[in-house]
Amino acid sequence: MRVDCLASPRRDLPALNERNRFFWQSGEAGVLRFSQCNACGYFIHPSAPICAQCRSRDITPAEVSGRATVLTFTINRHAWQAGLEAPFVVAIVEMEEQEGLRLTTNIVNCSVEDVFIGQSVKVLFDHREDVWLPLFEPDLPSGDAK
Amino acid sequence: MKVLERDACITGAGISAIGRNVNKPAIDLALDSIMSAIAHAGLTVDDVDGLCTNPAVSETPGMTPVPLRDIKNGLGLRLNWFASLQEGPSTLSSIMTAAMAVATGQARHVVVHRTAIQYSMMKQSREAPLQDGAPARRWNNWQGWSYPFNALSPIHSHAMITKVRMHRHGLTREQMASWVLNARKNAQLTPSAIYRESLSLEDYLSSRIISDPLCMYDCDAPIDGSVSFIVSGVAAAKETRNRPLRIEAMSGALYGKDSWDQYEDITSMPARDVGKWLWQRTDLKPSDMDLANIYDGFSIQPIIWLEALGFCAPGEGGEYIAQPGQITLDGVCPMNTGGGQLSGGRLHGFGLLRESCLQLWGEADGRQVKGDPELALTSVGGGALAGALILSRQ
Ligand SMILES: [Zn+2]
Repeated sequence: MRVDCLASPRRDLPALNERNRFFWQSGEAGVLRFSQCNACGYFIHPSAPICAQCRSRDITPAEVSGRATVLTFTINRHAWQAGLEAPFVVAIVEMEEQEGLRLTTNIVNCSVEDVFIGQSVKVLFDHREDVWLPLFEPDLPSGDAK
Repeated sequence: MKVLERDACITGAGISAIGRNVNKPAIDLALDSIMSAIAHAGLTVDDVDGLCTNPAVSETPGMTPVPLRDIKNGLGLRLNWFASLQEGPSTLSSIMTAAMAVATGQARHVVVHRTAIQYSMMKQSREAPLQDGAPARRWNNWQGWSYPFNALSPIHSHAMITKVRMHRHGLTREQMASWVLNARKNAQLTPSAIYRESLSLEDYLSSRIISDPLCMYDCDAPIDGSVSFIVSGVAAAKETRNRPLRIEAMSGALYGKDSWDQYEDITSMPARDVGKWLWQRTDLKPSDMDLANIYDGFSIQPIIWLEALGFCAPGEGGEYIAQPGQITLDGVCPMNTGGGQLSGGRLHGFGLLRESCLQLWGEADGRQVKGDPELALTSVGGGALAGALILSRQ
């Protein structure tokens, strides 16, 4: 049976602070941004005031392509709380800009059975209150997705 | 290298009533296990001059319900040293810190407790669902990075580790079942274990998937209960009644990011670092261990641990546990002899450490490992948390 993995109707949200606000609100402009070290180019996630590679303190948010690869995933079959519908896919995706730059997210706009390790995906945003959650969908070459 | 943890011993262990029908306030559970550990060591409350626990606080309901202060003041302790730890290499960090305290002479006999009432708290929260139309709940820390995506349980992280291991290493559910079924067999010989009915491979394979590829039997179960230990200096240990279990080596190394999804190798997690540092502190080898109690909050964790600890090569954990006569009670290296957490109940690693101690003291009754075991390895933690130690009766 094929089940569409829609963006789940029920979501808790991150508490925003001065360090993570840019990340969670980047999607308002339709782009994904991570903290980047201006000295060596290393992306730092979650954001920090120092670069773990070169220890520079010169860090600013930088836009990325939004393209990523599914490193691993799971098809969740259990409705953990009221308002949450199963199945849905939880995945860890790795951004194309840097090995190890990852997000825990959901893969949406495809059947849960169609998600696979190594799949090319691209970002889209689910707007809730003052937060734009980065979700990912299959990155099909034609653009003719579903 | 001078390995100072060898100046520290476990000299007593105690446990409260544990399970799902305990119906006792957390402080009483803590006091029950502490008093039973003190008595087991042949000491009195007045001999105790150190106190330690981990974690100090938690956002998870019932995870750490007893402030250290309530124990200090309740028992009227006169402490030369105490600590309630927060960020540390698993709950074993409290045992390791106590070992450092006695090895440096800051204390003689340290009580270390781990008390949780996760079952009662979970039951309460199920009975009080959230209201419709209320604003979304907000989360800080690691929860803020996973809960918005409805990765609401540690099962999601562990399912994803399992998935990538199946993809890269050919790990199978049948191999994982061999760990789960072994734990259940041992639990049937353990009166305090919470799951003691027989379990077959067919039961396992046909069970409902919660987050694929993990099913209900791959997950441990929350319970209420408390376990305590007495950690004593080698000299002070002479005052106690049991054969001291010296810490041969202990490790809480972390060489990568403290994170569930940013740690560089998601198939190994920091268990890998713990294994490396552990074996640099002793001439012993994994094959010298007479038994092991390996963290099994999820069935994938022992596979990660056994590779990290060098019991087998990376990627071969599944084959290792499935080998007949390897981890069984009469096997080459018996593992999770008290049912582990999967069948014994979630005591956050302290049940596993207690089982290692009971085996070395010859107090494991119907599940006693044959041949008078002298060396036991205990590892605790999953995800970004990991710690391990070797106990020796030699
Ligand atoms: Zn840098």
